[in-house]
Formats: sequence, structure tokens, C-alpha cells
Amino acid sequence: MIDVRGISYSYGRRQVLEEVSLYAEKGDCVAIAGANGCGKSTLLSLLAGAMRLQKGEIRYGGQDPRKDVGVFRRMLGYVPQDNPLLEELTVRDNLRLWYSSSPFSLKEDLQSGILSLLKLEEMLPMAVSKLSGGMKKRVSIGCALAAHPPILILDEPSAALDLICKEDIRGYLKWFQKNGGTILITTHEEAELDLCNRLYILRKGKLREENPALRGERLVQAFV
Amino acid sequence: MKFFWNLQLLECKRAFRKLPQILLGAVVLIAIVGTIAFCGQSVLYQDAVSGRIQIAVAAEGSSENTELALSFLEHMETVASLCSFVYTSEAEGMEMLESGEAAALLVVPETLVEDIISGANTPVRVILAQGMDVSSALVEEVTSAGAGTLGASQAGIYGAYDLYTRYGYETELSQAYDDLNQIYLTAALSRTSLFDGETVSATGELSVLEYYLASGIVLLLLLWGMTCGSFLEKDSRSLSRKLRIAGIGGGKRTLVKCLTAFLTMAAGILILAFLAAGIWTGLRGQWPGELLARLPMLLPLCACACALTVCLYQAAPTAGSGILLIFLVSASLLFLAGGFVPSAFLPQSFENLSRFLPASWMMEGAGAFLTGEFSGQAAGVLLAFAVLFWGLGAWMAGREGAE
Repeated sequence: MIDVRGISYSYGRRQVLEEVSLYAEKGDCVAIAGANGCGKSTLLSLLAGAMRLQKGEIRYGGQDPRKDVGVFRRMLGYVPQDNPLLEELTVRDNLRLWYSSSPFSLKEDLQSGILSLLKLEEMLPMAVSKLSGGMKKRVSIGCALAAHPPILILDEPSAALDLICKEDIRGYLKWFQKNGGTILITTHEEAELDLCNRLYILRKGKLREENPALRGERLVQAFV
Repeated sequence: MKFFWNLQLLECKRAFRKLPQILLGAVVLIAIVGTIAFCGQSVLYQDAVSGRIQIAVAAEGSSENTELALSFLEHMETVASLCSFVYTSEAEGMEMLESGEAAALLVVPETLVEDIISGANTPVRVILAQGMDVSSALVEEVTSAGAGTLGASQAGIYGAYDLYTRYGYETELSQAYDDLNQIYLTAALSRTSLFDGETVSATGELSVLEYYLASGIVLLLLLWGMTCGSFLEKDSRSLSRKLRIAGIGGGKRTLVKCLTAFLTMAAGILILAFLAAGIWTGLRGQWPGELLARLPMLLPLCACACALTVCLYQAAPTAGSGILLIFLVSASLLFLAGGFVPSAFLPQSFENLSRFLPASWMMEGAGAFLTGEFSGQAAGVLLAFAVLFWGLGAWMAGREGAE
């Protein structure tokens, strides 16, 4: 489903990623962990097509996005760390925007589709600026799922959220995975790592696969 | 494309929700701009000539003819309307000059008229005050004009003498002199009839009121963006990246913002204009329909101001710093374009530079709106500036999203 080979990226002279490769099958939940500032968000942005690739290649379901940029839109739902929402507008407006380029119906998805699980219906008339962090994250995920993508890329989705929100999001990710979705997630949360069947550690620009059961002191040791 | 138009629609919705706040901000701006215009006008005309110009005349021991000539000069229309002669000695005249009592000192030779008749032409010395002010400049101008008239008269007299003696009409010479003197005196006594009326003004073809109204319109349009920070500020990195994935790169995103700002500004101006027209009608009982019909002439100015605003917000890291940047850039641009103090009072280098500044063309466009003389050149240049600023903003937005 996801096949990444030899990605390198640098900001000027500072090399952030060096020959990074990773692989994920349909239904996998892949965690990418690492110390703050090690390049996790850069890697996800490159995989989501939000940044230009300098070196390496990516394939989603065998399709090369360099040949067809639409692959990113069809195959991926990307949830960046900060919520990419138009704050002064309502939840409905934000969802409408992302559904305007989707073949799926917002109304149906809200009633019985993938958005019903996120419990967005009651928030629809509310301005995004009035929502809590957890609510905003749910809306962000909802926007990312407008095209019903088979792959969901999330950059620290639980950062700065309370326990209830974290649990809600975790529940949704479980559901998504159970329904054949592939998840790529960066996280520092052990509870989210429990969802993952593959674990990669990013350190000094290099990505290394580790035992997904790695926890506590041993996990921290892997970072340094 | 559907996504682009949906984004445009939602951005307009976001902006129009802020319209009441924007209009309130615009009213405050109008009050500030009005105060600046009032102060500017006061500063500009504080050095105006008030009262009459005192001229010290040192003509001690002059002949009767010279005294007559001076009296004649003093009572000439152009001189009498501006100057008062104070007869004094040369030393006292110099003191008056130094103390600023007199704008100039005329030192008249004793035999001025006799010397003119004999052709000796002993000149009158005109001494102007140091650090020439407006009064001294006027005296210099009047003196030069007088010397010119006198020179032309003498040339005519000498020309007639040469012509008549060469062809043997010496007996007719006296009559010719009388005729010529009649002509010259008629011309000299009512010299104002020889000149075209022309208003020389630092504000060009616009009246002072029109000039500062134009300046006020430009300042208002440039500062308008300060009230639009909430929807024109730079996008968060996450939003710009998401939009980029959806096919909205820096160019399209900046275009959406420029169009949103333009539509909001156009709507705001329309509302304010009709509000002002209503108040005007209430006060004067006359609907200013002609001026309202000229409102489309402001559209190129709006386009330029909006693109500049979007570009500046894109350059600033936060909405707050964007507001400060807009204020700084707008004030600087308008100052260099002569919007606060007319270019005539600024160094020549400023005037040369102003042709390359959007604010100068905006001033021209606003002036055209007020006078009703549409300037196609100004409109074209302003639209070109709008494209340039859009391009700059798009480049910055593109870089932001890609990094």
C-alpha cells in the first residue's frame, strides 16, 4: 500500500532525512517516533505531497504521485499537527470546502458514513474558533476523510488534547484500521503506539524499524 | 476548479462577516486622514504672503525726473497691488533689510531718467534680503518684469531712431517717439492685460482641497488592509500545505485573497459612498450623482491597494506585524509620492523616485476621480502594479508552503 524508498531532504545545508525507506500493507498502522525536531513532520509532509520531494520515490498502491499528482488527493487523508481550518467559518463550511472536490456526499457521510463516528453533526453550525482542541482535531480528521482515502496520515493527533479526546480519536483510528484503512502516525503517546503493528524510529535523519512492542526506557533509549 | 471557487466563496463569506468592523475601522481612518489633511493644508500655507510688501527706496538727491519716474512706478497697477515704497537713505534701507522690515532695497541713481534718455543706462541696484523668502522672490519677479518692459521700450526707441535716420525721416522722429511712448505707456500702465491668468500651485492641476482629498482617498485605501488582518493574514503552515495538496498553490491562494480583499473593499466603499452621499444630500439638498457615477474609476486603485496589502501580510510573520508593516509602508509611500507635503516642497530625488511608486499613480487616479478626467495611463499602471504585487505575494506564499 505504501512503498517509500530512499527519501532524502535538507533545509539548506541541514540534512533532515537521509535515505529514508518504509513500507506498509493495507490495514497496517505504522508509527513513526523520534525526539522533537528530528524530522518526523517533514517526513509526513513529504509523504502527503505537501512538500516537494528532493530525492527518493513514493508509491501508493503501486501508483507514482510524481506522474499523477491526483494520487495524493485520492489516496491520502492528511491531518497536520496544527489544525488546517478556517477559524472564522463554521464546521459545516470547513467540511463543505473539502467535500467540494470529493465525489462523496457530506450529508450522507454525516448521517451514516465515516463522519458519523466523529460525532460532528452537533458541531456543524458552530464557528471553528469556538471549538475546543479535541473538537477541532475531529473536524480536521473529518476534512481529511472527505475523499474516503484508504490511507490516513496523522501528525501527532493527540498533542495537547485531554484524555477523553485522545480516547475518542483512538477509537476512531481503530475503526478506520479495522475497515481496511492504512494509518501512518507520528506520536509520543504509548496508548497510540499500542494501535500500531509497525514501529519506526527516526534518529539523526535515518529511519530504523524497531519492535512495535518497545516501550518505556527501552523506547527512550532507541531515540538517543 | 470547483474547489478554487468554493474556497473563494467561503473566503468572501468570512470577509463579509467582518464588514461592520471593517467599516467602523474605515470611519476611524477617515477621521485620522481628515485630521492629517487639515494639518497638511495649514502647514502648506502658513508661509503665505499676508499684507503688503515693504520696499525701501534710497533715492537721495534724485532729479525731479527720477522722482516722477519713481512715483509713476509706485502707482503702477502691478506694483501698487503688492508693494509699498518707503523712501529712505541707503544705510537705513540696509537696516530695514536686515531687520526684515523690508523685502528689498532699491538704490536709485540720482539721474536715472536722464541716463535712460542719454543711453547711459545707470542701473538701479536691487538688494534682496538674505535667505530669500516669498516676498523677496515676488520683488525679484516684479523687478525682472519691469526691467524687461523697460528694455523692450528702449529697444523700440533706438530701433525707430536708426530706421528714421537711415531713410531720412528725422523730422518725423519726434512724432514716432510720441507714438511709441503712447504704446509703451498704455502697455505698462495696464500690464496685467498682457498676461494670461495662470495659477501656479504646488498641488498641480488640483486645488488644495482636491489634492488633499485625493491624498486622503489613497491613504484610506492603503490603510484599509489594517482592518482586514483576520482574513488576509498569512495562512498557517498546516493550512497552506493542505491547500497545496488540494491543488491551491501560492499563486491561486494569493489570488483568492486579492479577490476577497478587492470585493470587500469595493462593497465597503460603495456603502460608505452612499452613506456620505445621503449625509451630503441632507446638508446641501443635492444628490451628488455625478461623483457617485465616477466610483468605478476607483477600481484600479482598489486592485492595487488590495494586492499590496495581501503582499505585505504575506511578508509579515503575524497579523499584528502585518498591520504595522502596512502602516509603515503606506505612510512612507504616500510621503514619497507627495501625499502629505506636495512633491514641489520635497527634494528633487523624491520627485524622480515617485514615478516608480504605486502611491503616486494612486494619487493621480484619485485626482482623476475627483476632477472627472479619467486617466487611462494611471489605471493601466495601477493594474500592472496589482499584478506585480500579486506575483510577489504568490512567490512568498509558494515558498512558505514548500518549505
